[in-house]
Amino acid sequence: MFSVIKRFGLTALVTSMVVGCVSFNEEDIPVGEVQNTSATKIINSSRSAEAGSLLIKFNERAALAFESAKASADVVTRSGIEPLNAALHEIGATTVERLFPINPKFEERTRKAGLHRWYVVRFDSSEQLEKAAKALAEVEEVTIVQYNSILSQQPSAVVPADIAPTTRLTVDKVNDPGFADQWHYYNTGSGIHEKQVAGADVNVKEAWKYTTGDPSIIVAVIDEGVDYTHEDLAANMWVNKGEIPNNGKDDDGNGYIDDVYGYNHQSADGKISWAEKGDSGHGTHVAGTIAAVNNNGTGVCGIAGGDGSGNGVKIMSSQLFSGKSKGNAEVSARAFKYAADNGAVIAQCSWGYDGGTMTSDKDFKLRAGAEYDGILYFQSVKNSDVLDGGLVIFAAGNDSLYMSGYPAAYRDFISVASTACNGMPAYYTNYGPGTNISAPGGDMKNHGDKGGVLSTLPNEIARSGYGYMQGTSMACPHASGVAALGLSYAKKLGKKFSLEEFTAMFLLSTNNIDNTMKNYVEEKYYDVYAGKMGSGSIDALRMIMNVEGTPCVNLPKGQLAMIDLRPYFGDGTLDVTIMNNTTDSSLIISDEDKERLGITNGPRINNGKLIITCEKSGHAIINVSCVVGGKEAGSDDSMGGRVTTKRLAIIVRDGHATNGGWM
Amino acid sequence: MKISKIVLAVLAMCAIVACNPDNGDGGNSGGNTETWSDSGSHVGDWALTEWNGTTDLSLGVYLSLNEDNTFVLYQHFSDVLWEKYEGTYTLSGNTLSGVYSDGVKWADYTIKYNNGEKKQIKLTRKSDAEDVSIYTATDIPAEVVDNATAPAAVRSTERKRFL
Repeated sequence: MFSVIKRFGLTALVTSMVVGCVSFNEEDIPVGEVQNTSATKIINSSRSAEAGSLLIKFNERAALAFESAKASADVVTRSGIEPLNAALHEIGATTVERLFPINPKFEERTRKAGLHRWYVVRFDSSEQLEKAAKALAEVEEVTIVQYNSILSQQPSAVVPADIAPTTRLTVDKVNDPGFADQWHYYNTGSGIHEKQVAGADVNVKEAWKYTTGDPSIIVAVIDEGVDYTHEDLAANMWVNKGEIPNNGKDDDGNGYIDDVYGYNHQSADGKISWAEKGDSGHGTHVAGTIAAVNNNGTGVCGIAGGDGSGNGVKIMSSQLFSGKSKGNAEVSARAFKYAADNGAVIAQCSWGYDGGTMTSDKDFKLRAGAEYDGILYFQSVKNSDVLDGGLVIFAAGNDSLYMSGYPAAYRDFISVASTACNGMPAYYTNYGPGTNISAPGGDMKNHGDKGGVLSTLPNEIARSGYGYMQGTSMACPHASGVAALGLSYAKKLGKKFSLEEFTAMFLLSTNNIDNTMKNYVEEKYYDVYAGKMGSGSIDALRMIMNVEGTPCVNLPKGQLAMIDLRPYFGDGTLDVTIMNNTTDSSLIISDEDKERLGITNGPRINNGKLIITCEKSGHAIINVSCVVGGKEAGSDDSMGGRVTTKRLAIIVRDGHATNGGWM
Repeated sequence: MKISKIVLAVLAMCAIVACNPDNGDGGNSGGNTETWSDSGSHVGDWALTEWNGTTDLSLGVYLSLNEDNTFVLYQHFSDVLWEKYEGTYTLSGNTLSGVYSDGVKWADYTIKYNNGEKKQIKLTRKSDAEDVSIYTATDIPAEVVDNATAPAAVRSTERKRFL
């Protein structure tokens, strides 16, 4: 079965978690991997699926047939291929439409990704869903049948904040009154809770000395709608300049009508909503953490919200949830495609499936169908000079479970766990396999309302327009914000990275959370998390430093050197495993550099230490691989860490100045 | 944009290397040995153009030796950032020594001079005769001077850590 999907904000004052942890049902696993029988073509469960629709991936022949039919009719219900027509007739199909609308500008890459073969088949909701799926699965031209799983929302409690400029302190140069309560950015060690710890934050104040954002970096908030009219967000909203608002036309021809600030994929129109009955302000809260406008004397700060001169990163609202109207797999898939085709570089996703309902990447790939394809498409699209693909960041989940939920846990996405104002794991966070990194998400159960994350909220939700929430949902945008800040700095420096390179830098821009736990009083409560919170707690300044350049390692000449590489991989975090070079790919140095430095044996890596002897002085580059978030790399069959490679410069001399100076 | 300025600075350094008449002689001699003299002027702005016989340098160093025995060192070993160090130096005979402003000492170097058309100094580490750096007189690009930051070691002290 494909379990329900939910946002990861938490009911703040509810002590017993109401997370519906849907158990895994063996009967729901598709039998076998070969999708050449009607049974194996159906990839997920009809449980929690929308009635009256199915997502179908056709083969190329059928896709072309439908395109041909569409050219001569507005509403298409038949393909021109007889067995397929018969099946469609049998289920009473009323429409057969492409899942991903045509955007002529990007149709070539859409087809290359195979997304043009995904269709939504609609029929009367009284039709038995399983029967319809089976009928279509038996047709040769159908390659995948996916039930349109309904996305379920977890109620998220909000504690409104009273932010008035006259009652809050200004911190240094930042004049946003709420900044003093945003411990998650700058934790002074007092004012929130007696157990808060100075420095248990994302260290953004130091990073702001280098950059505060760049408007060319667009972050898609795939969530509830973002209140684009909010006083502290409006200036940092992405605006589709090719679209004329509310004229009922697709002015820019991107396949979406009136999509000015994004698109409401739930209601299939450009009307972004944030205060429907059932909305919690989740999307607006998340957006504020990334890019609330800084230094405007109003409200709160955002990690990459600029300095008040209009230079913050931009927020695109690719709306997935809307009030009580539940989304589905169709909506989710479209949200990623839309974000990719309209310029987003980061997909911020504070939602996922119940922890434990999928336990391997193979499970996820097999069942996520169109959604998986949509996310992969997002990753493949280059929307910025500084990054050659899209960065996908998910919340790990709030099930207090010893493994990350999916999609976060998938090895090519980033899974974010949550910490509290004392730097410790938040009581609800998922951790363990699949978890890549940690960030502040707050803990209002143990540290009071102010122990939550303070950010923007729609005025309809909180009169002041600001409030506290907690969850891995709140940790996730901290990671997205820091990533956006890193990309902004790369833009400033004119640097360019591959997705792989940047992800490696990002995951290694951390502080050691395990040492913190070891030193933290005698509460054994935290033992269970040791080594399982990913690479550590994200640090914006480390991100900036990593973007700046390749770390330089000084080596002595003519001596056996054993250099502990761990400080170059984040902050010596225990859940970064520097791979021993038992394989050729774990440590690479060119033969030319080896000869130049007089290296006759090795180098090699053992227990995180570079062991090397250089007989000649000189300089070279080495590439070292490591596993982030585990001891072994994840695979289709097992959850594990992510393999990343870090580039290090080495300078060999007889004696180095201890301050790093050349002379 | 900062990067374009940095690129210009690196290109300027490359141009110095390209114009170096001693290029390509290989080894650690630092070029035509006949041109090296024990006398000359060390004062001025210098760019590292050769280290241990190679001019293929992915690292960048500018050294400004001032008449008042102060120095300014600009270096970049990472991809982009130039770091700035300051301090004082002494020249005793042909031994050049220095102390950074944080109290850390330089290595001691033997200095020789190329007083030809292309002004150069050759610094050989006293502790390692194979560690030979050749610096060529140049104007340090304004982009380097303007954009250099404190050394990473200093910046890192600004960081806060948990516990």
